[in-house]
Amino acid sequence: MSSVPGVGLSIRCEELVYIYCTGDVDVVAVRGVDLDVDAGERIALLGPSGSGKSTLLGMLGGLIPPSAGRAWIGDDEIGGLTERQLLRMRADRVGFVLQGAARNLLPYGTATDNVRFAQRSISRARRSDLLQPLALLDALGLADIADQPMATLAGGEQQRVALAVAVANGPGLLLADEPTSQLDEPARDAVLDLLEAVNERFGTTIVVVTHDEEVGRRLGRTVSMRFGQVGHEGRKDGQFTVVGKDGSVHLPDEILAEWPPGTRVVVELDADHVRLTRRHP
Amino acid sequence: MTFLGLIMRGLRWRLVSSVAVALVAVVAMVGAVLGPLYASSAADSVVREGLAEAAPVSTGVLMRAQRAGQTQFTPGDLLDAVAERAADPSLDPWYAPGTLALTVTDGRPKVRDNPIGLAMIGWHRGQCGAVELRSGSCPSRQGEAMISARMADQFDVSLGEYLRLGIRADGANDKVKVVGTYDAATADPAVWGLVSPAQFLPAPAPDGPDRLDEIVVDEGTFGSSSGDVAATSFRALDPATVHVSELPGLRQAVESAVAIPASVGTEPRTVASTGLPAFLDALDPELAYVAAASFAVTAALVLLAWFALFLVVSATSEERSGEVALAKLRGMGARSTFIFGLAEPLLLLLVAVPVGLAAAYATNAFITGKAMAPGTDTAITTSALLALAVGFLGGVVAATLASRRILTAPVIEQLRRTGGRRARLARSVAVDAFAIALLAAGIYQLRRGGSDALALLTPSLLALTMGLLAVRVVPRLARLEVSRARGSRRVATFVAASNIARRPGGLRTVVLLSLAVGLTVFAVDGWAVASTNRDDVAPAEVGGWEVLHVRSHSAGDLLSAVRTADPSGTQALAAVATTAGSSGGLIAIDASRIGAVSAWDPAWTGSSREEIGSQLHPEQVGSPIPLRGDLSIDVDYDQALGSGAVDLAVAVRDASGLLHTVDLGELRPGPSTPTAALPMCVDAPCALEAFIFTPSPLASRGAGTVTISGAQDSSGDVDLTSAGSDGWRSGATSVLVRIPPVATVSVEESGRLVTSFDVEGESAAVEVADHPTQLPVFVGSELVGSGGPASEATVTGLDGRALPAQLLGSGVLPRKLGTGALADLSSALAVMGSAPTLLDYQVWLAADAPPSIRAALEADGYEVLAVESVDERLSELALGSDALALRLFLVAAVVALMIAAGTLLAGTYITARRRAYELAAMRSLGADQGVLVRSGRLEQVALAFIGTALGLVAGLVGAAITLPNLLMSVTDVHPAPWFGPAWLPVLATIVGVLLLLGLVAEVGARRTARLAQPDLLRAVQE
Repeated sequence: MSSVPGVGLSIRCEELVYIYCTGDVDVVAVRGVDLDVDAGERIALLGPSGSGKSTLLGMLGGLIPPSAGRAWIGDDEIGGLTERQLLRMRADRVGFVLQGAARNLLPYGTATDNVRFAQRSISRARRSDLLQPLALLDALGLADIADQPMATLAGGEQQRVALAVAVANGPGLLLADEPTSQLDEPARDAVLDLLEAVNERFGTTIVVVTHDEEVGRRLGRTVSMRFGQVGHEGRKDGQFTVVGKDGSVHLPDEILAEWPPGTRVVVELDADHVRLTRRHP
Repeated sequence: MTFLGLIMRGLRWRLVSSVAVALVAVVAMVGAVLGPLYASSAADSVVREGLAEAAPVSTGVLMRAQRAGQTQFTPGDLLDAVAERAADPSLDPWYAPGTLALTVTDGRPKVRDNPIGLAMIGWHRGQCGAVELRSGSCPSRQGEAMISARMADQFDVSLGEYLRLGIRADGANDKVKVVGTYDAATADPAVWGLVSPAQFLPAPAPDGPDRLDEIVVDEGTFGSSSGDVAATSFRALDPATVHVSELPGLRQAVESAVAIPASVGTEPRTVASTGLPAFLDALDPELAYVAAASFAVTAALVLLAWFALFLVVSATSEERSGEVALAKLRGMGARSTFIFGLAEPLLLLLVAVPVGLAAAYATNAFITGKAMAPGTDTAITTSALLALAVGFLGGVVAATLASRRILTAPVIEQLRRTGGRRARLARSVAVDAFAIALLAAGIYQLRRGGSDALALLTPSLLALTMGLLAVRVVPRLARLEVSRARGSRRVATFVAASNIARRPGGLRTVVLLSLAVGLTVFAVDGWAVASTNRDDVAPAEVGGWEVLHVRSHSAGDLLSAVRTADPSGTQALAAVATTAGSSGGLIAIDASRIGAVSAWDPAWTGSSREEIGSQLHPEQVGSPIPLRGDLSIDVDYDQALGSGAVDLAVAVRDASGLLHTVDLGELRPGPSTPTAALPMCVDAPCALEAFIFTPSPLASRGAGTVTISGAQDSSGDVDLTSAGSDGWRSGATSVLVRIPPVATVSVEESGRLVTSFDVEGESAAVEVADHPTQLPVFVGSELVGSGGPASEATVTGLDGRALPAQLLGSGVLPRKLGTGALADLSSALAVMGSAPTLLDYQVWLAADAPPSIRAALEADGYEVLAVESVDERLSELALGSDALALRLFLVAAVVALMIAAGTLLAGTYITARRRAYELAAMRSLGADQGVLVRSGRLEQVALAFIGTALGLVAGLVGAAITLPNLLMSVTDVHPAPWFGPAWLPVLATIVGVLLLLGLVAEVGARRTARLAQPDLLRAVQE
């Protein structure tokens, strides 16, 4: 039996926008996001608080309806799905991990209970194709805490169980909001190891929202977000970056490899483009 | 771990919330099912009490075959026919086996050829084992008889002596030998049926026959009798076997048993009769009343319970919001989310169903045992199960409504704890309008005098409506207070008012309290008012604190006997009552003692205990003149010119109160000494009543002066002046025909009585003025203003004769209540002209009367036939349908308060953590913990006070408009029934409620403040 759907699900966003109201003011939380993620890819959405990362993740998980633009999970355009279809999507194709491990778990259940609870969202027939809760936890290295109540587990352990629960139904896409926040380094590494294991073992596409650049490095691809927009890394067909309020600009990894942080550059405005020239000491 | 196991873990995880919901759910189920259970028991109690109190004749079935009209049959044939019909098996579940008897009711037995009275002659199946023999044996063959020991003593009949039964006109075969004597009082009703052999009654008239105890003979004695023999069988209803649910079956069985054609072919004709259907018809309104009260209570409690469940589940649903959101996050469908979201409250509700049923059953069994008729059953009826189902389904709906926000809100909204959608105004206005419409309908029903379920629900509807209106008004007032407190330093007030203004949960508390307190105040007020009215009515219905119904030869004898038994005059009094007369009859009591002895309060007639004696028996100018033995008087008749001789008669009253008029012969002019034999005055002295002068038959006119200079009886000289100088008056009130004052009379100092008269064709009389000329009476209040007596009237005296009466006032009279007349017994005897009608002889005892009085009376030969007491009557009234209904309201009040207090406490505990976040934030901003405690206390106390105040007003108003329709057992007889409010018990209840709510508020405020540590916010961050 396997909980793997075969391949991960790809993501494609085009000009995705989300506007919410606070009092009489409209706030644009996500403004025209373009994003491509290949099936089975692991990416980190990196950005400061309020940059729209979690909102974008919520839209990808079908929790927040986009105000404008389009987004596809695999072949499904989520804007066109009904509430029921969105539920179905979260039940068997998209796993979601909320920020704060405890919020993903029934506090009075064990890890096994929580996995089993997650698996109740799919039909009995399909459930039989899934890894049984204990097998899944074993596969993810969590067998030793399978029968422990959540309240007795450490934060890192809870987070790993939360990830296990999120992939309990063998989703093609795992969306995780700050899974490593408030964890110490060993715990964070353990969580990242588990994410890698999920990706490698099940081929699950993984999108992680994080503040931590190390997480981005471990996952392989980082997409930065500022002011509701993603940087150039978001698109596969070009190099984009966003100029920050403080004037900062994120450079692609391959350039960073050549120009490590601390490299001095000369910035020149030339007609419709900016030229960066390395200044050798 | 199964799904159920997971739910169980969830319940354990939030144990306080779970226990709170479970308790409220259990109480809700108790509330739902208690009403129908109680109603069933109360109806059963009403039926049992009614059947137990009813005379057997009104509930039993009597089969009878009379020989008259079908003389072709022998008594044996009649007996067989009756026995066969009485053996109807459809009656067996409720009726005792039938008696079987052959009787002749109007036998005129003779002892030694002297008629001795009227007697029933009878044979009863099983008679020899059903009565205690005093001597000899039971008749076992034709021609044998046994008589009561009393009869044997009275007529000096010995065993072996022969009697004639007097049941045949020709007297043939009528002679029986007395083979035994029996104690008539020991006869077993199971054999004798309706008619006890103890039938002795002295003749009401001097020349009438006594009614004798039964003469018991052998069946064979009737064998050849041609008298009017009747074969009877009586089947007595056993009240213990009748449950209210069986009434339809019982009625059907009885109706079919008596409806069988009386004559079939050549068989003897039998007639069956019963009063049961009429009796059950009379019970129907009471049963309907109990059912209505039950419905009203059940509806109020169920409403309250649903509301409480809604509040508690609402509070717990906030706690579970994240888990339900998790289900949606994991993609569970609406159905699965619904099941998961409601599983915990539904499981608790399911558990509450049997627990609530058991608790309600136990509660009802307890109440039944304590406050209902003995043997009353607690049965789980269909309506109880239906109410349980309605309670459960209502609970499901309440839980669903309470959880609807967390079940339907978008996940992200739920996770971010953003505010839900506001309830639509239109929906809440519709609820308000519906409640007001129901209230208006209830008030309309009450004004029409109705006491149906809707009318009885009115107090609860009033409380509900006031609570709903408060939900509209209180937030506005709170916002005003917020504005005022904002600029001041009253932080606690500001916080409390803000919370009241913005939290719907608090306002719902007001509705809950208004309903619970309203129901409680109504119940307490109603019970107190009803109890007070019952305490008034019972003494009036009984008269004395204890009343002995005795067998007596005469009212005069009883009067003397009671005065002898209680020389103090404060412990007992004699009373007699007539049932004759179109206005309810007369109750005559020993007025000199009524103030001290009676339980009935003379104030009900506008009199007082001190005054009523002298009002009913005013002091007379004359004193009684006793006579003993034969009388002779010295008379000098100075005949007027043109008149003739007159006949002189003397009227004397014997010791038993009977009046005798004895002729003294014709008076001719000049002195004479006429004499009269007065045998009735030999054993006990008589009282001289009057001298009567009637023109002789040959003289059309009698006129002149009669001077009576002396009188002698067997004791010597009789002092005619002992009545006093004004002790004689003209006219007479105490003879058969009232003689108007057509004579003059004076008492000379020399001791001579001088009478002048001038009459044609009528009599003149002078009488001793030792009694009033008009009988002073109080009459029943119902007789006044409806063509009844004015200041002067006539009442029906002890002898059934219309008497001139002096109307002292009107009101509720002892035992007669709104009808009849109350008079002094000695006065009533003094104006009694002829033999009394059938009287009920009574002895009233004071509350602290010693047993020696009864013992003395019994030793004096006054057999006690029945006993009544105020305590017993109070117990009976407390088992009436209205009392039972009010008791149900009282029980409901306790349940309602439990629901309200439990809900408040549970809500406080459950929401404490959530509210603590806000307070923690305030503490982190520097707010003092004391201020936070005060704000919490202030908020809770304000809400409790508002809810309680509304409930108090609603309960009192509800009681004021409902009780006049509810207290039907007292309002009918009470002269001025009191409808409260009973301030003392109501205010005591309110103080208790406020203390309870204050305690809950304090506990809640302290717990919330204790949780509200700044660390709590850090925990949230983490």
